[in-house]
Amino acid sequence: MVMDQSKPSNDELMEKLKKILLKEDREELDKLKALINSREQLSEKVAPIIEERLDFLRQNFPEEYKGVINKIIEEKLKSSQAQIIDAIYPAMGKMIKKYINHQFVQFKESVDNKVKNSFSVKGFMQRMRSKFGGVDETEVWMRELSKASKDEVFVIQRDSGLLIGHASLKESDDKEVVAGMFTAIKSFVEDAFKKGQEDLGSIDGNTYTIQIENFKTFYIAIVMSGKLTIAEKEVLSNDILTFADEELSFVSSDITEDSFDMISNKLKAYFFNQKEVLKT
Amino acid sequence: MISKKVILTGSFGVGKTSLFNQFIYEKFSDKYLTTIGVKVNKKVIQVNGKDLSILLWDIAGEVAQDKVPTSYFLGASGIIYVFDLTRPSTYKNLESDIAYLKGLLKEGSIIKIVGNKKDLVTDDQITQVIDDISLPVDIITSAKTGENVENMFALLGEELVVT
Repeated sequence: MVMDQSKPSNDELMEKLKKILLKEDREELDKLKALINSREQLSEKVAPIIEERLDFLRQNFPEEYKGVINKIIEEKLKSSQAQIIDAIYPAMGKMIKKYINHQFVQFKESVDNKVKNSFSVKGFMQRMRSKFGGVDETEVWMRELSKASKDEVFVIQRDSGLLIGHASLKESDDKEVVAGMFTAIKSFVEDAFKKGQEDLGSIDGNTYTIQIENFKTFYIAIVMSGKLTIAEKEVLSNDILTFADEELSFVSSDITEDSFDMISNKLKAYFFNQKEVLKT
Repeated sequence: MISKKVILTGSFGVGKTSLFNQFIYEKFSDKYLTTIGVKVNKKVIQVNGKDLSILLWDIAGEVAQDKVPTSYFLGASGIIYVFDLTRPSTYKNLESDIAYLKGLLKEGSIIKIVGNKKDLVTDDQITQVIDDISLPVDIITSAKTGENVENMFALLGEELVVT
């Protein structure tokens, strides 16, 4: 049998048929290929969808991912407890200390005001009622607790910053350096913010106060733990003035070991022999 | 024990803090940190068999000494005026600075003029610098190598125990 050469084979027929039937689909496929291969065109199509999804996430993020995030945080907190405490403890400690001190100062101020007012007729009547009704021990106890205490007393030569005398409950190696730095800070503050001939009277920290009394050739600095009320500062100031008047009238510009020891002993006797911080 | 206040002063970057650290802690650091205001420390040295406690004030460097708060100089028994051997700008005001400081100090106070950074210059250069300065330079030091730092304080100490 002789094959008709001009007659197309089955494969060719099938291909032609495919072309006819799939023409539209292939054109569509080519367009899609072009779209995917062209970044700009793809971006144009996809960007609005991503933007829409992002908008959705922005609005619904907490709701959608709350559970997952809570779980991650919970796990992180459990595994890094020590680090977290290390990080927040100093800040928290300071804040709490500062708050408690502030509350004590306010409390003490209010007690002082009450004591002042107690000299009024009304106050007298109240005291009488309290006496017959029993003493409020809590108030007395709270007042005791909130008392500031003396840590160190320095007598320092005013110009040079050299230490003339020192007393403290514990031995301190760097007292001369501290005296020098006190003087440097004092000089700096007085120089930078001077108004007339004013001297620096105190340095207040969160948990301490340095009360300073200035004299002609020296000054006395008392480092106190805790905060002092205005009334207490006044009492302490009078204490220092009395001490200086009674014991330091002879202070000369020459500092010898003997003079240092003598003044230091006087300071110890005067400021640290009393259990109470302030003379009453 | 005798205690004396001594001031380290001079222009900025001349090596005052390095001399301070070399003398007090016997160490040198290449890090340059500007001194803020003043730093005080103490060292006890032996001078002619006596203990001398030096309270050393390291003052922030200023181009001219009249910019330093005058209260820092009060009561000082000695001043160490430091200049940088490699920077003429640090000794160009030396004469007027020394005259100004003498006016602030109590009678009998001692001023020592010190050229620092010896490790960065040759002997010829040092001679040239000394020739350029009208006042006598007391000692040449290197805070970096520690050369003459102890000697500088010993020199000052000897005069301080006499005054």
